[in-house]
Order: sequence, then C-alpha cells, then structure tokens
Amino acid sequence: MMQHDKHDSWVTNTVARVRESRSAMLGLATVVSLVLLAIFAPQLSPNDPTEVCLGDRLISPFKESKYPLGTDHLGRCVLSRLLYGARVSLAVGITVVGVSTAIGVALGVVSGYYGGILDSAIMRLVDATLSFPSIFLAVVIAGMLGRGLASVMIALVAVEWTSYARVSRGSVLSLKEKEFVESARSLGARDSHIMTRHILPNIIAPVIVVATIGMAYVILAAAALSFLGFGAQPPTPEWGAMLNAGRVYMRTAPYLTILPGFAIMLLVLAFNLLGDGLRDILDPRRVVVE
Amino acid sequence: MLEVNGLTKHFSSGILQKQHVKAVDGVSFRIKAGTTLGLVGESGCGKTTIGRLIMRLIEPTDGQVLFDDIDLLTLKKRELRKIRPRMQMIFQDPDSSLDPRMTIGTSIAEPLKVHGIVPKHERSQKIRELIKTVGLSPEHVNRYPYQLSGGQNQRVVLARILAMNPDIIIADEPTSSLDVSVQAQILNLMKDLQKKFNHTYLFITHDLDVVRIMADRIAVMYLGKLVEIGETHDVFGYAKHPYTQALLSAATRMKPGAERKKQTLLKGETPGPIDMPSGCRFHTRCPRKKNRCMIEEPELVEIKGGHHVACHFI
Repeated sequence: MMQHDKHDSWVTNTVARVRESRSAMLGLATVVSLVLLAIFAPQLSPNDPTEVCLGDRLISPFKESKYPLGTDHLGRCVLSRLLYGARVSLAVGITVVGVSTAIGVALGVVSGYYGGILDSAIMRLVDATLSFPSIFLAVVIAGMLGRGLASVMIALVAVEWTSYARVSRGSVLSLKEKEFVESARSLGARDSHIMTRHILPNIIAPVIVVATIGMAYVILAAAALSFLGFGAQPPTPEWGAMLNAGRVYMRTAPYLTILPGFAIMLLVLAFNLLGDGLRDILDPRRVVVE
Repeated sequence: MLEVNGLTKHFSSGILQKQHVKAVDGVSFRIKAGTTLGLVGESGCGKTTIGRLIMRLIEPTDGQVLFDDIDLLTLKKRELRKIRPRMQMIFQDPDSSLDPRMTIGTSIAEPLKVHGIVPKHERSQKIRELIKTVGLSPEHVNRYPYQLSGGQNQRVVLARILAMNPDIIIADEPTSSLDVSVQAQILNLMKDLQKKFNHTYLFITHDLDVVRIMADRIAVMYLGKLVEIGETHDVFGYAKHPYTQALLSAATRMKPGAERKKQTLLKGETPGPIDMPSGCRFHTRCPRKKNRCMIEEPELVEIKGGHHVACHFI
C-alpha cells in the first residue's frame, strides 16, 4: 500500500485509529473531561474545599443549593472537595508515572542494549522488587518515609519503574537485532546516538500503553494508601482520604463514601479503557514490525 | 586493498556441554580496489557471518582483516568508529534496514550528521544530490520507508551509504528480497556506482546468475570454508571442485539451442556445522570421495593463475 501523504506518520495513524476505537475514545473523553474539571477546579467549585462550617454538617446532596453534593462531617462542601481531589489524584498519577517512566525506560534501554552483567544486575533488581506484592511494598516504603503525599509518591515510583524497565528492555532486545540498528552501528554512530535516535522512538508505543494503564494503577494505589492514612493528610481533599473519613458515617450519610469511591472508579476506569484501546492499536509486536 | 586472513568465528552454545559451531573457519581472500568478489554458497554456510565479521558487527574468534594495511580487528572502539564510513554494508532486507520512524531524508542525512561531513546549510542540497544519484526523486525526502517499495528503499540505503563516500561496500544478498525486474535495476545501479566511485564490492549471494553479472572474482564457500576461488570466468567455465561443479550444474539455465548438460546432483543433506565431518567437509556428499578425504583436510591449492581449489583430486 502506498500512501503519498507527506504528513502521514505513525502519530496521525494512531490518532485516526484511536478515533475508530469506541472504548479508547470513551476513555479518552472521560480522562480529558476529568482533567479539565481538575484544572478549572477553582472556578468551578462553589465553596472553599477546606472551609469548615460546623453549622452545615452532614447535609445530604441536592438539599441545599449552596452545597450541590452536600457536606461532610465538618460541613465542608463535597463537590468542591471532589473537584480539588481530582487535582491531587491526577498530579500524583502524572508525577509518579512520569518519574517512573524516565527511570524505568532509561534503565531498561541501557540494560537491553548492553546486556551482560549490567543487564543481569538491573533485571535482578526488578525481579526482587516484583517478588513483593506491590501495594505491600509501597505501604512498607511509605511507612518508613513517614506520612504525606511525597512519601507515597516515592513509594509508588520505587514499585512502578519496574514495569517500564521490563517493557523497554524487551522491546530493545528485539530492536537491537534489526538491520537499521546494525546499519547505524556500521556507519559509526555512537551508542548514545543509537539509543536516543533509533531505539527510543521505536519503543515509545509500548511504553505509552504501559504508562496509561500505569496511571490507573497509580491513582488507585495512591487513593488506597491515603485511605490507609499514609498519603494525603487532612485537610487536603483527596479521594482516598475522603473515603476513609466518610466510612464512619456510612449508614447515615452513604454519599460520603459513594461519591469519592465513584470518582476514583471513574478515573481509573477511564485510564484503563484508554490503555486497553491503545494496547490494541499500538500492539508492540505490530508497531515494531511496521 | 581488502585482505582477509584466516578469519574464524566459532559460536558456542550450551552451559554445561559447550557445543562449538564453526560458522567461519579460517577463511582467507583478497579483493583488489575497485573490483568485486562474489561470495557464494548455500544458506547457512557462513557467508553472511563473514560480512558481519569484516564490518565488526560481531567479534571474530581469530584472524585478520587488513584494510589498506590497517588491521580492523585490533582497532579500539573509537578508532573503529572513525574508519567505519570507509566501509559500509547493504543488508538483505531493505525494509528493515531503514528506521521506520525516520523519513527518507533524515535517514540519508544521518551519516552526514554523525560524521559532520557536510556543513548544515549544505545538507539538504547534498541529500537532493544523493537521491538523484540513486534514481529517486526529491519528493521522496519526506516519506517514510513503509510508503516506499522494497526497490526504492534499497536505493535509499545506497544513497545513505554513498553519503559517506566509502571505499568498500559489503552487499549481503542486496537483491534477494526484490522482484526480478527490480533486482536488475538495483544491480545495474550498483555497477554504475562502482564505475563512478571506484567502489570495492564484496558481494554475498546464493544466486549464481547475479554473481556472474556482478563479480570479477568468485569465492565458493561450503560449511565455513572456501572450497574454490578464482576469476569469474575460470570458476564458471572450469570449475574444479566437485561442490562448485554441482552448484553450477544445479543452477545452469537452458539457453535456446544449447545442449542440455547432464546434471550432477548431490545426495544427502548438508551436515550441521556442529558435528562437522572429519577430513574434507564435503566428503559426505562428494561423488569423488576416497578414503583420504575422510582423514585429511585439503588446503586451497593454486592450479592456475589466481584459481585456487581445495580438493585432493583435481
């Protein structure tokens, strides 16, 4: 098949295929809207998310126009807290996934490209990390580092980088044997040139897939850690922490657990849908061969 | 010009019981500047390995590769990188020889950038020149390899190589994945380029018709060793080694009016390179086999000016 459109590259190709995939589009649309809500949280929130108003405690949703989704046990506006909570979750997700990708891909590429002792060392480290249940390991690390979002993020990076290292190493192993890499070697290019110009652009696709699904995992794990009391500390509006605080009032005010729970589910589901769709579209095998 | 002495590559596999595969075993030959040596043999005989060894894409076990009296195999990484532009390789599959994420123009510009051959502002001019030289048009510059045909991609590979102005080009089955008509075009282009730039070619192939057109001299390989080497005319006309004879008779095409020659067909399978036959490697399939062949390994012996054969009974 010959297509003579000079702007036609794999990026535009991918975008076209995302548009065709219904689940990927749904995931993407949800993610985009949640991101927009998070960005414009200050404009959209009816109240200050941390403002305590003990006179307005535990108002149910849709009862008062001042609090569209009601208030919690301290009289704080649930809607505002949810909107600001999206900021926290997305910020944690983006930071953790970003840092993990940078570390994991760098180590994975070097590991796969050079092989030998370096490769064994890095991969044994990955194996050792993966031999613990990841949430358990994160709890241990977060526990050692003390409470707070920063330690949760460090703990999650310590666990998350392994998937990126594995995926990129695997892709590099198959790419390394490709003739265009040998050709770059034989024209006298440095290893650094080959890794950044030839290897990296060709492993981006599988890494994007892992990163998207990783976002879902990280957001869920961060919420879980906050629920357990490691992450966001009061009064920070964080979905996991909100869930935990609302637990006590589950019988009298179920919306305090249902709403943040639903928010977590929505965001995680959206990223999962998007990731699954991208995985089908950017199938690593297909991408490398194309 | 290019001299290969006793080039050897053993691959070993297995942890407890090491098995050595003698992919290339003491191969020596010489290619004069501006000429073509055709390296032929069936698949798995080690011809591709020889190409990669000379390029030092894989490290040899033993031997010497002299390029203008520089021993390539002892060069350090940095020295090697400096000399690399002078010898280039064309790979079998043009579609995977180009980075799928790079436009044709970027691919051709890469050697210019890596070696700083052409100043930046003259680069696009140079790229256009190169693209013309290999018979493509400037509109191809912004395309991606998957938008071009195999033949066009092989032209891009040539343009990329020409950018470095190499002395030696190792062509590893450059046309075997192309249609016959496209094959002819690429071969003609390679011949024209050789005339123009005085390239030295090592042309690796299993296609005797191709090698007959391209090569000045021919080396025939069997299981990691050369069995016969000589001028193309001598090897095709007066093949002495029974393997070469069998190879030629299997490939000879009928010409209209030509008498049909009796074919000498080989019996049996090629032995694996792991459990190599003793003595002459070819004795398991050789029609002239005698006891001596099973014990003593024949050396290449010159039978006529520049025509060497490795057989006890010539």
